[in-house]
Amino acid sequence: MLINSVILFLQDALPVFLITALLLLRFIGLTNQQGLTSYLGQLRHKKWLYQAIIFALVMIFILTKNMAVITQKFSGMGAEVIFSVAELVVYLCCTVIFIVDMKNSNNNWPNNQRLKEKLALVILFMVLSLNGTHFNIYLNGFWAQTEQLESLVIGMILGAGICISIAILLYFTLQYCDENICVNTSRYILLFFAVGQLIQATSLLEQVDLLPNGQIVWNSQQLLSENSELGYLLTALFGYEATPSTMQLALYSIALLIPIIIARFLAKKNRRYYLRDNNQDVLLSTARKKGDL
Amino acid sequence: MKLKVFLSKSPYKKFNEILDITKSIKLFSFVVLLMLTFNVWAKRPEYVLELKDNLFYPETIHIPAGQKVKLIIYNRDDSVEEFDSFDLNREKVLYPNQKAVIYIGPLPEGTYQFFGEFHPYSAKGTVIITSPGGKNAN
Repeated sequence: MLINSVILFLQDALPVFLITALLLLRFIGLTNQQGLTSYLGQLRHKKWLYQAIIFALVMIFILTKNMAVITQKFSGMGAEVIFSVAELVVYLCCTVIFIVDMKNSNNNWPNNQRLKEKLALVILFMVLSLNGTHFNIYLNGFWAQTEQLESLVIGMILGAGICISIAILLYFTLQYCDENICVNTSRYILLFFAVGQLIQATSLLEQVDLLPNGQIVWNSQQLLSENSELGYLLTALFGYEATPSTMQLALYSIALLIPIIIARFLAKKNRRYYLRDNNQDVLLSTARKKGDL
Repeated sequence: MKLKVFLSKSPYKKFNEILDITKSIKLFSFVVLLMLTFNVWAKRPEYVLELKDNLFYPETIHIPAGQKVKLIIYNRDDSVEEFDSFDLNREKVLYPNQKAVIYIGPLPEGTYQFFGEFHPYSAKGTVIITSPGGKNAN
């Protein structure tokens, strides 16, 4: 029971903590030597974070109450349809943030702060609602079994501790990478997370035969089980599947490549406008010769 | 409307002109709808599984290889359970005294494990994919 609680908490809560860390990286500025008080100070002004949590708690309550009825809708496909639509929305919102949030582009790139905040609110709201509902269903199932209550509470505390630790580690690792290795590391990880959500949506649609799934391409269950700790982390962060179908593989590649191509296209366009607007003809012609534009 | 205004701004303007986002979205929706319709119309062989006292009946299901089948799962217990299988890549919450439907396959020959996530030590079973004409649990 204790292990079960920890595992379920890892499964359901880990994506929420990971996406919170990834979204905060998009809003908290990159400055060296930041103390804890500075981080907490910046967190205080993240209205979207608190709004998303409050809205999601209400949604979790509503969904948990009505999930049994919703599941029976659309000939028993209700839950899959609703969850996959929500995951598709998460993918689209993350993709837009990925495209509009180019930190290495030129100074005239639009700031898009308000747009990013709205999208972050939607993403966190969706991810928290979906995962929270699943975990709440599990909690309700075991709450009545009073003899299991102690294990349940300890399991939740342990699970929360693990999730918070992983999220903090991810946050500071990516912040270090953004500052010292590649400025867009965390942006690309956000895109991988988004594609992972899309893959989970396709799994749900394949499950109810709304999408053709084709053959399973490989089975890496023995090599790296989805049921292991690392498996949970990779599933939440990159959409790891031990038994992916041809449809999922094709979609993974397309869903990953299209935003990257769009972002690169816009970055080039923007750089051209910037150089032209600032009469930097020499730089413009050099860039053209190099093939940068 | 807001999307159009947003896309009309530089640097998105040129991108919108080239790709014509609104047309692409309509075309994409049409293709997806077409795919969904074809799948929903298709008739699949049906297999029944029951959950009682946190145990799956039958414990083993034989399914022909290379075929997509409909698996109807009845939860006869008063508690919620989740059908879970990493091998089959399936996960479905089973509400008390309700039926749930999932589709599995087409799969190559082999043995695929499934279990109840909330009672993984008691609620477990196996799907055996056999060559066409093999044993059928139903």
